[in-house]
Amino acid sequence: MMQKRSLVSMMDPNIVSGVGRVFALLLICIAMGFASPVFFTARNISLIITNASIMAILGVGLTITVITCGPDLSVGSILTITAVVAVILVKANVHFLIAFMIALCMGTALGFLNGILVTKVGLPPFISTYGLQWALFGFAYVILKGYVIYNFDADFRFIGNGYLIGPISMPIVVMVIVVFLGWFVLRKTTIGRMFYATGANRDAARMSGIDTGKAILLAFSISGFLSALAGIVLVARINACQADIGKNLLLPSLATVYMGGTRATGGQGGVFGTLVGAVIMTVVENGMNLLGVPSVWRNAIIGTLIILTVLANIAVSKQLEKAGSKM
Amino acid sequence: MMKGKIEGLSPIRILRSLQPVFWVTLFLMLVFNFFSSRFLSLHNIINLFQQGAVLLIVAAASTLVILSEGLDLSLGSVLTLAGITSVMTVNGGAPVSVAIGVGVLTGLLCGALTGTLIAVFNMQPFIATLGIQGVYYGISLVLTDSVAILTKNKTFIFFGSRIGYIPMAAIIGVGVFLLILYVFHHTPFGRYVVAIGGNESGTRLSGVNTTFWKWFVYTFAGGITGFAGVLLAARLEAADPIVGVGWEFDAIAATILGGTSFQKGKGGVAGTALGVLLITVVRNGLNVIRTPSILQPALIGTILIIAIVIQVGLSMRSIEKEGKNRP
Amino acid sequence: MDGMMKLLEMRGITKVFPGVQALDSVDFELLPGEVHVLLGENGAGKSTLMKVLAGAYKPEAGRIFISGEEVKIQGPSHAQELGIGIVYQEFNLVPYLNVAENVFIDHFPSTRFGTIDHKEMHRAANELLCSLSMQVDTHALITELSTAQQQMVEIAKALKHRSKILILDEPTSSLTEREIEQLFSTVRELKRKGMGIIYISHRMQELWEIGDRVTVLRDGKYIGTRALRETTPDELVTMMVGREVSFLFKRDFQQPGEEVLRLEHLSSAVHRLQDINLTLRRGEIVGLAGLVGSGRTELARTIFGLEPWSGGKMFLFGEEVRNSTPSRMVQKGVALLPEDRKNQGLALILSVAENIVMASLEKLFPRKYIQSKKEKEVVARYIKNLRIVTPHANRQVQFLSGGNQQKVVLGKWLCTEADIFIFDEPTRGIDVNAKAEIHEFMNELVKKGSAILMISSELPEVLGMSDRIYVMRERKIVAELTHSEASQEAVIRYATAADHATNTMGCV
Repeated sequence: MMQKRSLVSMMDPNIVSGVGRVFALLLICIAMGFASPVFFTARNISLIITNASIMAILGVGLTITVITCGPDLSVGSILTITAVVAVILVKANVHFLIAFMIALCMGTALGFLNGILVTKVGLPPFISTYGLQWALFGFAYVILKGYVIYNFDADFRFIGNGYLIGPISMPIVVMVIVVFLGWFVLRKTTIGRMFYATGANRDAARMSGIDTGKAILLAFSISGFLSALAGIVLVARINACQADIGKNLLLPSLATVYMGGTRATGGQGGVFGTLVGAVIMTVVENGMNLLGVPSVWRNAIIGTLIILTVLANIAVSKQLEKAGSKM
Repeated sequence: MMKGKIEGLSPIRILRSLQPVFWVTLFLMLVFNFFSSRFLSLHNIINLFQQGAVLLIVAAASTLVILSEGLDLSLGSVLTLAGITSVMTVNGGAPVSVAIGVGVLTGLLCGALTGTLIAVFNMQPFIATLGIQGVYYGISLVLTDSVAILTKNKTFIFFGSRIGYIPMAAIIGVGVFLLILYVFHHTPFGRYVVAIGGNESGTRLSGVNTTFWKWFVYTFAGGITGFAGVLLAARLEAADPIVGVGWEFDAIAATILGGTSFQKGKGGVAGTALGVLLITVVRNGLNVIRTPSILQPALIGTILIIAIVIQVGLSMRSIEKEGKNRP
Repeated sequence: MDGMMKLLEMRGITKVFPGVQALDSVDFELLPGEVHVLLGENGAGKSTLMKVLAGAYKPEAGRIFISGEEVKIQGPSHAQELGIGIVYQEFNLVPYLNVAENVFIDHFPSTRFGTIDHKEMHRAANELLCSLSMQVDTHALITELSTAQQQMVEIAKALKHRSKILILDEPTSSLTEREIEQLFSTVRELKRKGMGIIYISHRMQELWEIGDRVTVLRDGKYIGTRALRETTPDELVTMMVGREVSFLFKRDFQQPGEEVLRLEHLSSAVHRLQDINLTLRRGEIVGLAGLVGSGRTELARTIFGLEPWSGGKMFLFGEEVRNSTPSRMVQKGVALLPEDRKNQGLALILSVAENIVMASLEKLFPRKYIQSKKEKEVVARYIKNLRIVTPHANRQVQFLSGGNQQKVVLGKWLCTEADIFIFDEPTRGIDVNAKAEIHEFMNELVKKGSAILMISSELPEVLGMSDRIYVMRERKIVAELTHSEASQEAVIRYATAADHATNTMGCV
């Protein structure tokens, strides 16, 4: 049957908005370049992308949970507590690789706990993860109190401030690997399909024989793992750790994911968008630093950014729907 | 098989749905008293009510929002902001009544903005409020330059203090709560809250302007939270920009513990009082038995999560039973 | 009836949505004291026309006259004030408000101070319900009521403004036989009082029982109006479809093969199923008939592993199976096409392709890696074989028509190469053409050796398509009929309780 096709309805809506996003990023970068001469130096750009890496690593985990079920609001706290544990172990003369392993396992276990709260107890994810983060930050505070632990061995720090080749720092390497694996799992494996199906319609997925409980547990475990990974890279990079290290990461990482085009309703989205989102967020923060914006305004700006982004996402999907329904 | 004979609002029904939380609270009170006989002293009980007064109001606001199938994570920052604006007003020489008005107005404006994002622009409540909370928080920081503002205005402080055995804050808190309870059961607005949460599209098709009333829920919640913020500032004799952090979680926890569910408008304002009681008992109790303040956030977070898990788990089971009893 | 003033007259109603002309200059009229049926396929425009009347939509063109006076309907409340009440197919009730609050949701009786006058509200609600011969505690929450009781609340709600016109949109689709009788007697009572009732229905068997006249719409156009006693089902179907359609369901009956499913004394505490004995063999379609609430869907869900059973045994392909999960059942070759295809059968925001392969991920891609070439091939094959209408495979399923959506669901399960298919209301809400196609596919399936267990509330479908029929009543299987033994009367006799006490409601 011949149908009248509109160009937009034929294209994958994700690609359309993805291109738009990269475009927006370029615009912001150009604006920043005008606003501050320091912006386009190689050093600054390397700095931006390195900082973005940590956000991106967190973001990939968050993207997966948002797609599958709902946002993991505890990422900042998992990052914090696993970093705290790793750092204490290292200072207690445990080999740094073992400390890393333990931190990663802990992160995965905490993610798994989140998954259990959602699947077995039936709590909506934004409540259970929001609640868990309070407990986890509390524990981190119990362990570290107000102290700062710093000055780690070069071995430990390598993953944070080492360089692989030229300007490509280790955090960037980790990020590239994580993003690639994230893309691969989501788009090219049946596991990824399980995530999308569970997020799009949990009942239908279950009735199609998909083990949605397993999918949710896996999604949150991955998110926990990546939070821990991000934490390790972060403390290795800044060479210090304290109990509130992850406190201000929740809002920006959510902004990253939503800016990346992943919608809060689940069942769609992807990591490349999150990557772009992470870079945008970091550019904005970097810009705010360069321009000397007082820190009191940071939260407000990020909050506004999230709202504007989501509004834009809503508007875009409304347009696509209108175009798409004109079959 | 006409089964429609059970009273909707009878006290028996309320008690039955609250049982677990009620007994847990009782249990905890006995435990705390065991460790420190000061706990159940008249002096401390009055303290308990003073401490719980503000939360009572904020939790009631949160309950209304949640019943309408929404969520407001910005209530904590609204609380703070309203406290700040009212203290600034009273310190600036204006009469206390004006200061109270300013605080409430602040809350109303914040709520109106939040409500617009959610009801008019159709943003998901949790993202909208998470984002806007950053904005309100930022404004609080800017207005106070990140430090607490003290006040010495005696009349202002009077409303939050306790005169001998008369706890002013508690009386005001309970009074406002009862007012909200009355509004909930006896005004169209209160019924619309449940209607929108239970069947928004159906209610709209029945001729109710759901967009307006949805907006109004957030505005109303903001307004009463604003009042609570004034009360809190009066109690603390200061307005502190970071004091509101976490209140929204307490408010939501109290709502859940009070038997309100996230779906379909099930639950009510009355139950929330019990949830507030539990939370206040836990906080107060931990202090009275001299738990080190480092441990408190972690402990409180954990206790609350466990309590919520119990409450939700049990109510899930009763929902299943309800479903099966249909002829 | 000539010479009587028309209660309602709609002339030349036209309604356009972006890209779709829903109504094209449609006429409709209603006399007082009549039940006027509005008939048509899905998408014909019946609901749209009624929504225009009820004030939910504003027409682009056309005029409406009530009792001879022209009106311009501003919105749902205005329509109510004009005396038009509507009961939608999906109830607009709030689960955790009580009956009285629901009835007066848009117009609470108020006290001097603006608060709700509860006493008056309950009194008025009681009065309305009594006039419908219904006794329900007005303090009861909606969740505590049965579907039929909820419908009564909806009717009371529609009538509260002393309506003259009542619109019922598919009122019987979830009622038991007894409840339908009750509804009809209420309708007759309202007729006697001079109300005009517009009755939208798909279910031919009821029309002659309750209706006076019938108007047929097709593709948004007015086709014709007939007095029911002067027309036949075939004529109406021809009007609905535009061409002659045979009512027979094409089946090539054959000798059944080996047994694939057997239930012995199966019972389920969760669903209160008792002592279910059932067999299913290759090459046959076994129908599962019964009233709404008899437990058919629950049985299907239990077989599929969605809920556990507590007693008895299940044998799949001769081997006993223990309590299972849907994933394992799918692996073993069982498929379930649910009743609620939008919410349970499909992920609406995912594409046709993604939906089709959703149940076969392990089978198609055993090493977890998705080969896009293979995926594209498989999907294209099913789109072609099932004649799914879509511009391309990446289209989101939510934009497809109901019939095509059902085909995607079917495609999903065919892709699993299952042996046992459980169809729960396979053609509900689907237009006649697609319906015939789906029956054709079902026939092909069993010819190739699969087995189908079909739940259907449409007796002609059950009778026409099934080799054997099990009849369920109140969570038990009460009869097994062969194709030749089965008849409408036989099935209904087993499906209903043999006698009902007539209701004597005490109303003040």
